[in-house]
Amino acid sequence: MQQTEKHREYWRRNLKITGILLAIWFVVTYVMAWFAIPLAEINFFGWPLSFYMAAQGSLIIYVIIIWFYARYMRKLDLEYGVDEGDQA
Amino acid sequence: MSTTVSANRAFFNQLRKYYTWYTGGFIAFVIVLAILEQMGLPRVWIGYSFLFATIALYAGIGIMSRTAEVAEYYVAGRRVPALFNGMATGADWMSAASFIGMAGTLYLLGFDGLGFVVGWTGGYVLVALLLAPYLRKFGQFTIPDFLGARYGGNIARSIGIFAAILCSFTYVVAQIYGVGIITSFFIGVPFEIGVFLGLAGILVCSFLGGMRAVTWTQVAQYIILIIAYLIPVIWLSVKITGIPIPQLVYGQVL
Repeated sequence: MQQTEKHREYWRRNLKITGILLAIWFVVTYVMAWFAIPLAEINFFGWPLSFYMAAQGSLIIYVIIIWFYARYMRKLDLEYGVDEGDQA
Repeated sequence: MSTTVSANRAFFNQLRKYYTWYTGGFIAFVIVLAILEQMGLPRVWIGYSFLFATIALYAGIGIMSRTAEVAEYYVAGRRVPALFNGMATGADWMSAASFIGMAGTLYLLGFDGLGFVVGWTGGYVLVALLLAPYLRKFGQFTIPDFLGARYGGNIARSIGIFAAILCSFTYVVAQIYGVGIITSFFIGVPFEIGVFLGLAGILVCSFLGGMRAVTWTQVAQYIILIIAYLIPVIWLSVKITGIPIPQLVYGQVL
């Protein structure tokens, strides 16, 4: 298939959103775990912050990342006319 | 395109109807068992009936979804609605190893044990962002196939196979161990025999229908699992803090 300027733009936006979301993922997963001891001093509604993040916070953020990615990519697919049109 | 959309919607509604009836049936089954327990049915018989009813159910779904088509067998025809696919994935997340192992692991290891939870949930993000969309667009069935098609040659494919075996092995060992414990506990056979009985059950459920059977049994399991997870923690939460949403209040009892 011939790659047009439009395809390249689609792919650039795809890479950008993937990069941003993976950066959030990295901070939530590794940076939070790396600084777990100092963060444990912070009280978050009764939890030490690092414990809350590992037990619930990071999981909630993961789900939001996946939901946002699916929604964003679906819109992008429709906008650039590469949607497979198979969603109920 | 509009015909596929309406066909998919009909499929979705049909599935919703099936699983609503199924949930009602499950709740009725539990109530009947509770009444029988009050009437003095021995505990071991409750174990038997629960175990065999659920195995029969999963085997029934497995046999009903048997298929000989490659796309149905490997990827359930690529037409599982998102909600049901999420339920099936959720059931994997909450499977035997999590159910039996995680509470003890967290109790034993404390904060470090949460690494398991973060690891296998965070992994879904990597799969969703980096693999799943492209796997689907390339029309491949497995991750090694996709890596082979995308990067060409056998090195990428071999790395994919190695990673798949490594992950599956650790996962399956934990699951099979859990299956063995549950089976031997419920029907009072030695652990070694329990493992094989459990494996036979899994084989019946998945071998005939592949991914199609696995997905629909997983959705059925999800409904049982989510009820089985929520009731005890909500109960404990009400008893200890008086608030039935444990996620909000368990920080108090740390």
